[in-house]
Amino acid sequence: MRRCLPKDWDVDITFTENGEEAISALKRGLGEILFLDLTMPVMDGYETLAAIRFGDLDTMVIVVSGDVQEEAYKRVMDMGAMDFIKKPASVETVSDILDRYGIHRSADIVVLEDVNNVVDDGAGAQDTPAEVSSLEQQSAQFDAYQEITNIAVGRAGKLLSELVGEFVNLPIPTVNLLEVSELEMLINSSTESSISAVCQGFIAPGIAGEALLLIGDLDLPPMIELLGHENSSAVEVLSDISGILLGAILKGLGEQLHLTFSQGYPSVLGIHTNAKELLEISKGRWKKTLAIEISYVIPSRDIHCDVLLMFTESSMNTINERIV
Amino acid sequence: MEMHNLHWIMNILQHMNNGLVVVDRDYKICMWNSFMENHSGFSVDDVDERVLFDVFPDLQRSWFQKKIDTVFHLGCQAYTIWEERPYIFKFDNYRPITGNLDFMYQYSTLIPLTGVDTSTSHVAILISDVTDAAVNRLALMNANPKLS
Repeated sequence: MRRCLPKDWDVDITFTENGEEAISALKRGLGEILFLDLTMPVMDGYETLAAIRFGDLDTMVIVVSGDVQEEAYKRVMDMGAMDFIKKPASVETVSDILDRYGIHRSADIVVLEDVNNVVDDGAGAQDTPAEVSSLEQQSAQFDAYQEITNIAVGRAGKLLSELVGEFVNLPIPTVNLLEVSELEMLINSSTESSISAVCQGFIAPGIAGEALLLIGDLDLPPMIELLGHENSSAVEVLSDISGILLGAILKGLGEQLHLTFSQGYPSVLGIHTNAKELLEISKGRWKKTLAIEISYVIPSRDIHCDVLLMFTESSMNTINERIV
Repeated sequence: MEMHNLHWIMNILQHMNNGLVVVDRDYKICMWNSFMENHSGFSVDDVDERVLFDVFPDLQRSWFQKKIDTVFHLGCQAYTIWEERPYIFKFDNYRPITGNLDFMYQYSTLIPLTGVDTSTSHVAILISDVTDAAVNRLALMNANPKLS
């Protein structure tokens, strides 16, 4: 976000990491203008807007969001936001908006950015300075992965919401470097004991991976009801969702990495089975994977499904080169 | 790209071992390659500008139209897999003598094609013949209960 603010803008900037910090900064009079991200830990964008209204805090809120659903736009505007910038933001879009409201002058602003991510710190041993700096480097890398995923995930969410005609809660993707056993734990923890899963391979020069769509047994029937054709089965609905979500996510990722992905056919790993069985098949062929976990929730129907993007270890080199 | 390359590409599309059909927003056929001609028995002239569902009355319209509409609407690829729908177009088995299934099992990919204004103007339907894989899988599934 810092990169997108006009260079000649004479302002004091306060960066905060979640809604609570932002509110306390606003209460101290630090923000005439607030750039607000919607998907955040602790207190999300909607809660922050509600708190601003409730506390009658004097600030102009400009939402900067990867969630580009119509409904998200309507909600924040109803809640008193002044404008809405779609991620990725650019200096031009930000300048345009500031000019439009005549606030391209000195002001205090608070920038609220989602910097949540989980860093797998490997061994718990004492960190030597060298390890610390490589950890910092990894954490910066994971931030970058997360930011590009955020934007892609937002676009996929918008498509899902258009497809089912319902508002979709947008998740904060979590980025992890996982071992086989950890992946098993992740799948076990994120879903019910009995699940259905579809996987789909994707590839681009130097990058290869698989997407896993996981949906619990309780979530499957309402999803079929929402999406299915009169005689379509679980398999068909699952591969449809997988195709659409992955297609949108890969399109978004591809645009930011300046490449085009090829997608394989969806392949059903199992219907009403358990996670252990699912992963049994692939054991021994890989050691570590860069995993991005994304949970979509359709609140009105209480449907929850997980998408797990898993990249091969060697893909990380290419991704890193292309992010810079 | 030079013109002769374009000519090659057209040749390859024409003769590749996959079906290629392009339809417009009214589901009218705009492209039809040799694979489709040979397996369906309909020539390009037979199908040109005709609605896909009129050419193939057996193709369940309510299902497949919804699939195509989603591709138009979202601009995302869609798929059909033989495990779920054995085929889109009912073609006879490629190997009428040694093949022991009546029809061709198919995987398909639906690809959005964008016009000059970046909105989806056409959808390409790519058909892959996966009969051999399907035969093997079905045989395996039949054999398992006998073994246990």
